Amino acid sequence: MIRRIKMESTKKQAIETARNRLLIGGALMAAAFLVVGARLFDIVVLNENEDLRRAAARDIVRPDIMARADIVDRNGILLATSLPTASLFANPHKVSDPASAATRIVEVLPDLSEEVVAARLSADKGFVWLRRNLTPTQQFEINRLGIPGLDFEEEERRVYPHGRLAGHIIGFTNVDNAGLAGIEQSMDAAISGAKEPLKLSIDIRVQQIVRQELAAQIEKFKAIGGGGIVLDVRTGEVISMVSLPDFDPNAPAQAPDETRFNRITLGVYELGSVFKIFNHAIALETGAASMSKSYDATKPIKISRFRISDYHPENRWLTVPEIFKLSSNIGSAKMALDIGSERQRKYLGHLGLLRRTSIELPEQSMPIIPARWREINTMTISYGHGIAVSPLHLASAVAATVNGGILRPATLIRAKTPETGGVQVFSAETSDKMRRLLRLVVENGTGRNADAPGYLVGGKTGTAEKQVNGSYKRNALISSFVGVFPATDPRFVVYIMIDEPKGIRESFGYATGGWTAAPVVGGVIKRMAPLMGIKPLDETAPEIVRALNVNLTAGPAEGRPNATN
Amino acid sequence: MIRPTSAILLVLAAAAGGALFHVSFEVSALDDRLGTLNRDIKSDREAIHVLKAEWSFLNQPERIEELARRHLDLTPVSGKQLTGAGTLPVRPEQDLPAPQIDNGQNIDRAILLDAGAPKAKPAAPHRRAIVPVVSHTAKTDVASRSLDDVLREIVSDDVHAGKAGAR
Repeated sequence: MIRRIKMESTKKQAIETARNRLLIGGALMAAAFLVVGARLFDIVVLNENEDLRRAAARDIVRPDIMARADIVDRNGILLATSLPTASLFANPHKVSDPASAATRIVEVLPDLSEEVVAARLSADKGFVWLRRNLTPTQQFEINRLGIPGLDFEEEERRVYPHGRLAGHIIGFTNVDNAGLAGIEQSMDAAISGAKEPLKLSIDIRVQQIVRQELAAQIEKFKAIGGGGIVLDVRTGEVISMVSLPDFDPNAPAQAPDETRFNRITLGVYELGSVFKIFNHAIALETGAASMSKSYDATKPIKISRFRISDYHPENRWLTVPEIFKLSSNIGSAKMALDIGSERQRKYLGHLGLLRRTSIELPEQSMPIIPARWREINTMTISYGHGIAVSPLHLASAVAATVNGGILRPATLIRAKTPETGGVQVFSAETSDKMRRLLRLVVENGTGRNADAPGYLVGGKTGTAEKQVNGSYKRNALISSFVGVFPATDPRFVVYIMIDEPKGIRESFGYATGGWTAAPVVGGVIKRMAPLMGIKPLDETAPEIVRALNVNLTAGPAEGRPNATN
Repeated sequence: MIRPTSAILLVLAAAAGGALFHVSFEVSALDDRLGTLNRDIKSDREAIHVLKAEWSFLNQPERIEELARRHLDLTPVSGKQLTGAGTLPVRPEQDLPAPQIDNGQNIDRAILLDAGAPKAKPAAPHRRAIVPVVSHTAKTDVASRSLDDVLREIVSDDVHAGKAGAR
């Protein structure tokens, strides 16, 4: 009995142990399933979106982002883009008949030599380049040959659809797609890997107009080159920038060095009488001269070994507006003396003429200014000699003179919000007087050839002799014209310079700015104004006549001591 | 003897297995299709990219101008052709014919007059002389070049540059 009880208890114990073990095992299993279940819940319900996103990231094609972003003009027209190209390579081990393969390849790519291709294809290597950067057509034709062992590697090549039209602005890249000139270089970091295209302030239509008109005039006057720039006076945006001769950025290696020279930003020149704009503006702003003051221009000024004379001497007293209209060097030099060296230098500095411009191009030069600003420098600078600046400097400073007196940095990048800041250099009043004077020059002064009916062009001619080895050459001129329009409320500055024009019969032998550059400015304005949506104005309307009226006679208080005509 | 529960479970397991295979095949087919679509999208995007470049190339102002001169009878707009609505002359009111009712006498007269007058010959459509706006320098025939030609030039430039670099 006792034994039985004992046995029963042993049995019971064993069952108990087994049950306990089962329970532990079951609990472990349950815990494991719970973990799996919880994770399942987590994946399916809680983190659903993240997984979808991860799946989407794997499956959806990457939007086509090239190594370099496109460059477009202000209207979104493509100026530079990267095209996927294919480079042809071969695995010689897989090419069964190198000789016949070479013959067929050379038929498609005639610039390759058959012997070289055959030699490469029979080399004991696993990889040989045959040709980099094929055009899509060439790639198609190679594919059609169906030669086994040939394959393509995807590469990118920078392409400029508009070729030389904007070559100096955009610049170019090397084979590794690194910017080497122009915007491609200066904005390299912004262009590399950007998704959005880079929008320039350039208008390719205006660019074409300027280039065409300028090229025709350069050919007509047998000049060695020229440049043109159109600037929006309100925002400082460059609408067009042309330098001739130019080059095709698609093939920069073939371009002669002188064609890559950007005369607008890299070239600094003594620009001549166009500087009288600043001389007059400074004189009027500082009160050194008023519109009714007169100066004695009866005879040339002699100072040490220099002689300042007029191109078309009037040999009489001239009022301030007359000095501007007739472009009198004598009168300007005397006005500059009234301004004084210190003030002249200060204002030229405010106009940005003594420092680098802010343009987004690596090709830039520092203006050449006198080391010591003596009286003679002050006098020559008044009519644009003894100081050399780039045409961009000049256009930018002219814009500041006519837009109400505010200097805004010149830019090639189209801003989302137009520039409204800037530095006030001249008062609005001085700016208004300068607009009248500029209009006077085109209406009946030296710049009549720049007129474009209805657009109220104002402007100033400039003809400077080029310095060669320290002395001025009489027959090597920089002839230029700077125009603003409409003179009542200027929108654009158009500056054209022509390098070493030769006088022709049609211009009566003259190669001055009024004969060479002024007609280009007029031609450009006539063609670009309708494109830019500028309405022609009635030049005889009384309010316009009043807004542009200039009194040429001297006032009673100032002027010559004894009136001799 | 299989119990009914087991039978049901067996059927369910078989159904689950079948469904799994079906879904798995479907996924793999969809995956193939996705791959094809992605490849197509990529090649289409590349084609669009190339076409955009070609479009810009074909829109070179110089080329358009050349084509316009060849095929169109148009010249650039001049400032004289533009005017605002405000500057249009007002039609003088007194010139407006007064609406009048008559009994038909005047109409006959007008017709008779018209019949008696010699018929004016319709003016021959005047075709404007096509004047080139500006003479071209360096006359390259832009109209007939293609992007492919340019690409060829680029490539030959690479070859050129390579040689220059090797020197």
